[in-house]
Amino acid sequence: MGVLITGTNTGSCERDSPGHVRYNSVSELKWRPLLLRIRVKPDNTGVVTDGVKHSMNPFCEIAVEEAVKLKEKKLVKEVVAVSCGPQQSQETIRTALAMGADRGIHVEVSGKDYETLGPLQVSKIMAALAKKEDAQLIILGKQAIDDDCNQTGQMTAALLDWPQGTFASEVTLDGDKIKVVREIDGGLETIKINTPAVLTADLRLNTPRYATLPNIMKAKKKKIANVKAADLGVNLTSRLEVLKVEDPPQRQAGMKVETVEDLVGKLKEAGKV
Amino acid sequence: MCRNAKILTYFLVHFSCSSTEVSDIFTLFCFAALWMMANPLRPEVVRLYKNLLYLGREYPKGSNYFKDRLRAAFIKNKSVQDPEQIKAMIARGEYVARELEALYYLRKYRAMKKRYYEE
Repeated sequence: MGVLITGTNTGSCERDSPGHVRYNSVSELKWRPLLLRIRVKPDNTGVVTDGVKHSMNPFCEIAVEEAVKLKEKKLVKEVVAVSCGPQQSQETIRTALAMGADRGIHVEVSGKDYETLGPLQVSKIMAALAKKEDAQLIILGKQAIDDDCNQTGQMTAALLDWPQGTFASEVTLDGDKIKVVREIDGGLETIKINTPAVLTADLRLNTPRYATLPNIMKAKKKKIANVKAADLGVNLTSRLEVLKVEDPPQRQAGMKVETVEDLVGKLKEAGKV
Repeated sequence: MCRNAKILTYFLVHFSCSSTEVSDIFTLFCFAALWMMANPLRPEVVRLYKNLLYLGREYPKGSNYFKDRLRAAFIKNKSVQDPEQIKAMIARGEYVARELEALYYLRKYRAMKKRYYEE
């Protein structure tokens, strides 16, 4: 599980003063294994995750930090952290609450459903929650470090028919619109999108704060609501089936040669030249 | 501090209603002053210790290594009484906490950058 932090603004827009719009924000988190040493399961159906230390997805931390920063700038009314997974993902929500989110929603998915939980299912859950909580902005991490899908943000935007600002390295709320500077292969791209919108956080968006012990203690008072996917009317069956997971091939030992002629001879032997 | 206050109020309630002798109140005041004078900064120090302990769990060289050094550092300065000195040491402890947070952030940032961004 990874931590995807998506911040969505939920709630109605209130106008305080001309040009100043207030949103509610929802962040979604994924709880992912800290990939220290990966071992493939003996039956080749996946990677061993029992007993592996899990924590919040780094990109999700950046997304939560962005949502909290927006709240501190008073551009966003409320930050809600969402996570889908078994009981342990509540810890991730607690970390997000310690970082500054206002409340959490834990979508309980466990057992078989959890193993097949992919971006499509998560984005369906996010879309349903966004409608239910009346969110205006959803912020997610750009990808999860265990499956590297980079799909949830985009799928959520498509399901909600909202504009998306992905790989955001800078986000500015500008009245009704959001100015997003995106990191793309060719450089940086600045776009202006309408709200409500979906953003995905890239590495250089901000520096996430550490959830220190006093903050964690304070966060214990904040509420985490428990929701089942069925309550949101979301079907969790996966359309994908993992056939096989294998270790990459072992690295072959190299050979040392003395002269260039030897090297050419060896290459000719191997049929490469 | 809260514990001391509770004990103090207990004494005040039970002893002040029995007699209004000046000497009694005086001894009570001395007692209270001695108690509180010892370590008004104690809660701050305890809070700092707990923070550092929590931060040290992810220390790269191992949490036991960090815990040993943390305890040694605090025990070494056990007998310091001067509030100014204690405040300076608390500031240094908070500096260490900030350094640890920066260490963890950098470690994660560099790991992500190496994994996902080709330079």
